[in-house]
Amino acid sequence: MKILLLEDDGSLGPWLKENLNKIGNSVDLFTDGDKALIAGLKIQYDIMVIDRMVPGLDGLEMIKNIRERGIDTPTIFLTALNDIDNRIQGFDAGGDDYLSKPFALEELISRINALSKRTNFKKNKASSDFLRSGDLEIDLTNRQCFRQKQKIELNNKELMILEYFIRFEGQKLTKSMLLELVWNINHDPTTSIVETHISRLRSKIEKPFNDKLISTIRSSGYVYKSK
Amino acid sequence: MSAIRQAFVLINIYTLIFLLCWLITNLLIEKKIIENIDKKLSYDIESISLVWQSEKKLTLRSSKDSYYMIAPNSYGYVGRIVKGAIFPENIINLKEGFHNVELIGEKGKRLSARALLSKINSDLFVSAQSLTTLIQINKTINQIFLVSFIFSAIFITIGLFSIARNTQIKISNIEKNLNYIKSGRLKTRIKLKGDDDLVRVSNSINETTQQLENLMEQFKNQSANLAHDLKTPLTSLRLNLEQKISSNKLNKKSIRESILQIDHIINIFDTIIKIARIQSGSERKKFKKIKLIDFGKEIFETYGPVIEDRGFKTYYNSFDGSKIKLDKDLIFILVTNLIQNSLKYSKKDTIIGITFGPDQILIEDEGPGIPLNLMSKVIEPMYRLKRESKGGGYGLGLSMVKAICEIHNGELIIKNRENKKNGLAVGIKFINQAT
Repeated sequence: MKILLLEDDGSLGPWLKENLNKIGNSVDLFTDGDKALIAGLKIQYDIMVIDRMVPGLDGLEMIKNIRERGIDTPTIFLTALNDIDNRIQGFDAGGDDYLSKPFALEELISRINALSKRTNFKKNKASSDFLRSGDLEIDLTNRQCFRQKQKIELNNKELMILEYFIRFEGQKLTKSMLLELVWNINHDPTTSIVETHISRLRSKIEKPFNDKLISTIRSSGYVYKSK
Repeated sequence: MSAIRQAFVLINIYTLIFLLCWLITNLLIEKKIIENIDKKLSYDIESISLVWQSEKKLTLRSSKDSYYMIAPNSYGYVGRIVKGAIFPENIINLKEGFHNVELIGEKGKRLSARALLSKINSDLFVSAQSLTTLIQINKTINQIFLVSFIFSAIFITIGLFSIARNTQIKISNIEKNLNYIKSGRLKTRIKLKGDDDLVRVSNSINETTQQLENLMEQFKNQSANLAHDLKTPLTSLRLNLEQKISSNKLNKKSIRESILQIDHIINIFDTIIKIARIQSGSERKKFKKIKLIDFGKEIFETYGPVIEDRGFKTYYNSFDGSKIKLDKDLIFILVTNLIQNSLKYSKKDTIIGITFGPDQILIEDEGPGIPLNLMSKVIEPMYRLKRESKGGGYGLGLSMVKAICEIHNGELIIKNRENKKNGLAVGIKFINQAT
């Protein structure tokens, strides 16, 4: 993926660039908003990772400018401004996701991957009310789930988790991403909400069929893969 | 404008209005009396002229205040028939109609009178009436007004100036105390007696200052506790890393442990910032009216399985009621904190219950409860009942719960369960929310 990275921190910026490049991306690093804006307007990026407080044009204004010119490159704000107002400002300006500092690199990579996938299914209008993944089917209108044509009773939250797993199939979904997507909360409740619901979901969609659809990635996230 | 100056202006306005009323009253009464006199004079003229034409004599006798004169043309106006008073010599030169004249009455006494002149068949008839009554009435009215003005002015001046002085003293008192508060002396309180508007304003200022003092106190304690609580994990982290470097054991496992310790520190920071934001009231704009019974269902759907999977039993009680204005995210945090505490302090296989509605949310467990003497302590930031316990926690959970209750104008319920050997009931009761 071609990524525009706007980060003025002398050590964090180059470190991020190096690590994102390592996994096969091509990252252009900018340390001030004006230059990043010019690049964002001229070059077609797949993802933009933007720090909000940077010299020159700040990150928020930069994205507003880009959106006003009709460019809808998916954008993640990366910032220490973590309160709800700042999040709303970020989304209002045209951001698609918001990750607060300090963060784990794995979390950022998962969000970049998910965002690129989310943009794809938005473009393809694949976000229909009927989802099929291997032998698993979800009817979102009637809130029903079937595997190998057998009906599986899932509660609302389990169904939502499964829906996002299918929509982001093959991508790692971190615990905080699931908390945001399913429970709409952007803090860690430090209770095992996600673990418990995934464990229950597994017992319903995996156990009776003796196989594994959801893998745990070193307790930092989950990946769903259909059979 | 100071209160005394305002009182002075008010007294001046009162004087002007009083004088205006005085003038208008005089004019109106005078007009009415003159109208009555004029009517009587017209009637008298008619009478004397009719008798003169038939009998050639002045039959009407002058009463106490009425005087008459006939100057017939046949006498060349020189011979005059007069009753009651001496009319001035030049009266025959006046035009017909009403005039104010001066007559000479009994014992040569001059008197003001109203006179009507009328020429009938070229004879001149004059009828006059003394204005003594009018003058007397005017005099009486003036006396009444003067006396009432003097008394009311004295009373109002004394009243207004004492109120103004009192107000001025109170304002100066408030001003002086506000300057103290401004300079950082937050223990200052305004002491005013009475039950007027200024006393109410002072009480509000006192409450605000108290709140400010509490917040500052909390802030100081929090900063001190924060420094203490951060120094401990930071020291341990530093020592750990130092040790690993010196013994060449800096491997992935030790780095991961260090990251966990850093996450722990970041969590403390995040929680404290969150509490500060809740306390500042900046989260209030996300409030929406919802039914607790609906929200409770959603919460139980999330937490019911968590509680069961941790080896506890659970139940959900719901009571329908009016809609409550609340911030769902904050109430979610509140419930999370309370459930976390119940999970931490209760024994496996005991029951953790969740109750929503009609106007309260309650989490009940069968844990050890809280000793009565520590009830108020546990809501202080960084206070931990079991500081030695390995259950984690930063002692911030219940202060967060308290802050969330306060922003909802709710009451924090925290009590050991009645009729139970063990157990605690904690929650929020929404007050004055029914719609």
